[in-house]
Amino acid sequence: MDESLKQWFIREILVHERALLRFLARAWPDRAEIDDLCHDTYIRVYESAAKALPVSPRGFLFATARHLMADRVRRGRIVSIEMRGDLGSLNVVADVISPEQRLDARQDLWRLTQAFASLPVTCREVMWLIKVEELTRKEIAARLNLTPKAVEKRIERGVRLLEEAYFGGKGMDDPRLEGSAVENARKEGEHDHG
Amino acid sequence: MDSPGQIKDAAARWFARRGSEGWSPQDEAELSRWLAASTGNQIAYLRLEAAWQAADRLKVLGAGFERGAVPGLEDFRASPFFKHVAGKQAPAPEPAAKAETGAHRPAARAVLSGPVFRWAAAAAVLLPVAFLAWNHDYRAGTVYSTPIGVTAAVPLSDGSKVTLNTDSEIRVDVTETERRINLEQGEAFFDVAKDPSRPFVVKAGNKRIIAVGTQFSVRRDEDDVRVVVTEGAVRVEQPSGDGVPGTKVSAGGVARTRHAKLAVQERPLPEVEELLSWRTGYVVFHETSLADAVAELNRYNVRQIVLQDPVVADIVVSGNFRATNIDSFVGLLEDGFAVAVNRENERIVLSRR
Repeated sequence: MDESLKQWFIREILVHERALLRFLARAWPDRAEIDDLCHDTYIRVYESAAKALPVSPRGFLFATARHLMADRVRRGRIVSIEMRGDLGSLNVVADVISPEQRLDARQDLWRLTQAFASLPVTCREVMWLIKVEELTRKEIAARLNLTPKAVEKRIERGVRLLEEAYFGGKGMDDPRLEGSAVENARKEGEHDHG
Repeated sequence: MDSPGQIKDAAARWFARRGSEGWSPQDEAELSRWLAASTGNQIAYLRLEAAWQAADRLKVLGAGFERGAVPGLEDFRASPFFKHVAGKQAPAPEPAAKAETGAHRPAARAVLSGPVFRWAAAAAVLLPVAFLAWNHDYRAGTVYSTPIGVTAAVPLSDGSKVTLNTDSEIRVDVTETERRINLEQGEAFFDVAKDPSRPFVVKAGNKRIIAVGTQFSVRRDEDDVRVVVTEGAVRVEQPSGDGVPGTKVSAGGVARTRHAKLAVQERPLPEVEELLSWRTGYVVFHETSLADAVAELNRYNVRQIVLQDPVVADIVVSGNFRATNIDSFVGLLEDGFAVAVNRENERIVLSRR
């Protein structure tokens, strides 16, 4: 996988995830399909960028999302009179949404802190020990009296929840966007002790 | 085909396994195959890596804490880093007035007020995401509040989660023996983490609502409360000495108090959930008089709707409405009923047409 493409994708595309989710949620009637639309939009953007990087990444991201929705409507994957506004008018919507310019370092730290604070306490603890105290997994297992497998599970759950909160803002300020995966992982977390 | 959620879960499994001791070249090859299988897999994995890498910056926040002590969430949030986030100014901390309960706190305070954090605190003032006002009172816990029209999630250090409704304020005090929440005003939904050793007590005026692990909301109007339970059970206690014992309210139950009286209704869960639709930004009306509907909507908006005619007040409305979008609500009334609308700056006046 091309490293510079990866970095470009993180820097120019993933930072707009919250705005993209809001955009999709406004335009698409079925909330259950929002994650799917977001995922498919990413795939299209990534595959297209592998050939040539778009000049305006943010504009390209939203245009791709719009085309994807239009395709789905055309192919009849949804039949709905609820389609919020016609797709043509979505051109306007994309620009009206509060522009999330590239995050500066301070905003980014704030976002990270919020995301970290939203993790279940067991995951937070393990992540803190890895990132701040730089302990190895072995040391963490000894410190917390856990099996290596349990440490691994907490990392798995922690990083999964962190990505949703950090990029998508899920489980934090906007309960409307809370994904079931996040909730399930959180619930699982309550039963994990060992 | 796997759903995005399943792909992300799989990516997280790979990611966590990769750093474990038993990771072999065969595993690495298998991971490569999984990545090569689809662009979706690659994106899921790179998104995880990016989030994990971003977490390196937690070190900045860790600077003030003693090694070996993972800070509790209240400590973490009480750092000056967040002090000025939403306009509510915390009083200058007076070291002598602060109750010290953990050994690592003094160190935290000393270092967190260093240059890095002064810089960060100044930066925080400018943040556009700032909507959740909080204020640390060094005597009795942490205060969280929301302005009109805003709901906010507040995670607590014990794993519980509170959702604050519009124009609401809570004071949180989590100790070794008790989790105490004071509902100063408004309404909050509590998703309580199970911990039998520490009861979760919500105090609203002179009422107490006690839970162990459950989900419920409390809405306060002066000393009267409405308690809605969606999971488990809570006990509602009136002030002692008036001879009214605590009342148990189970899932599906809605308890209302009026002065010293308490009434509990049992309702089907979906109906009860509707009372909590504010958590998703909506209010739901079922054949509600316009007078009641407007009173509800006015909780969420600075610009108030005023009814100037008893006939208008008796109009019956039903439907789901976005709580902060009064313009569309008023527009619907204008279109569908004999209502004249006068839009002023601070208020919208409805009268008979």
